[in-house]
Amino acid sequence: MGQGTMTVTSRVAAAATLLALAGCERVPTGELGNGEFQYSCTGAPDSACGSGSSAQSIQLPAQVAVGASFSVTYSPTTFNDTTVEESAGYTVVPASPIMAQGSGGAIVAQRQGYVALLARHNGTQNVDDYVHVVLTPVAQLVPDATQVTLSAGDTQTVTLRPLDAQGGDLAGQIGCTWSVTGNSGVVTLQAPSAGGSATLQGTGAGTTIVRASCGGASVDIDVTVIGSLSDGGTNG
Amino acid sequence: MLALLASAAVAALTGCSGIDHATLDGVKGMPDDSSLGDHAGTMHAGIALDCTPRVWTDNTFGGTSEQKDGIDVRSSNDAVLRVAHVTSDSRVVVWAVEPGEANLTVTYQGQTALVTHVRVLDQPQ
Repeated sequence: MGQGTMTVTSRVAAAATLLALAGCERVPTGELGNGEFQYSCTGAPDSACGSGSSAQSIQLPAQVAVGASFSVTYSPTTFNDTTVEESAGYTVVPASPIMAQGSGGAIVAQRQGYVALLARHNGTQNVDDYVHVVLTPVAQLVPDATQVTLSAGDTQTVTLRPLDAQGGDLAGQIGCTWSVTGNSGVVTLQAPSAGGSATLQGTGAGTTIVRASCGGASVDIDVTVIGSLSDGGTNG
Repeated sequence: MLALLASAAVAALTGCSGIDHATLDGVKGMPDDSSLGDHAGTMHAGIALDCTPRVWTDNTFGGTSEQKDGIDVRSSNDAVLRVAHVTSDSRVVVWAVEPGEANLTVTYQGQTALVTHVRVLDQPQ
């Protein structure tokens, strides 16, 4: 009897595992246990998405940077072959425009604190599930290169990683301003980006500083350029 | 005759009389100190919670019967506080939109069963 029960239990567990592995059942992440919220990586710089540039969906990160834009999708827990239609039947909206604005596409974090994201059925306007996201101000910026050395004409892209006051990673596509604060004849910012990365191009020999400011945090990047364009510097 | 008696019994058990009491059951989901009771609540803007509105009516045997259908929950001020039914069950989700005050009213067949006064505050910065 006991062995038989165990056998049945094992088979049920194995079947459940197989179903989960096969993608037939999602693990609920919502407070109501009805579905899964997923964070969308679009290819734009976002520390939650790693260095890969491909579009993908990942688990909701622990916290999102204030001022950053991000996107979250929702899928009901149980689904069949009509997955895409079911997912498309819901719109994820923030509970309060004071805390976060936007719906469906990009959501922009406005203030420090919690915000509930609601999965609302497009037809009935019922809520299928909800989840809270923590919004945290950017306290530190860590560039992937604090010192850049270029030949004149060469380019290098610098990407920032936003952190909270305790050094925890913050998700989201942050809004930043980039500027050359030192010798402006040494480097130019190619197509200055408002995001978390910018491409620097060496224009003349010397040293200078490029400053990036995102929210209340800023960071300086020391840039050294060797040679000048008239010396026949290589284009990178 | 039997059918008449049976109908009367069903009506008595299911409660055709007035509302006895109502409650917001199983309030949960708040990540901070937001709270919601049967008569008052305080929530921070941006916070959502879920609960199950439950209504009991008097029956003709002197007891009460819990009702399962005809229950609705509405906010008096959608700009401050909103509520929506959950797709698959009897729960509702309540969320605070912006600072202010609103009444959350539970009704049974259109009759008011419970009024909860909710204050919505800014989140601490």
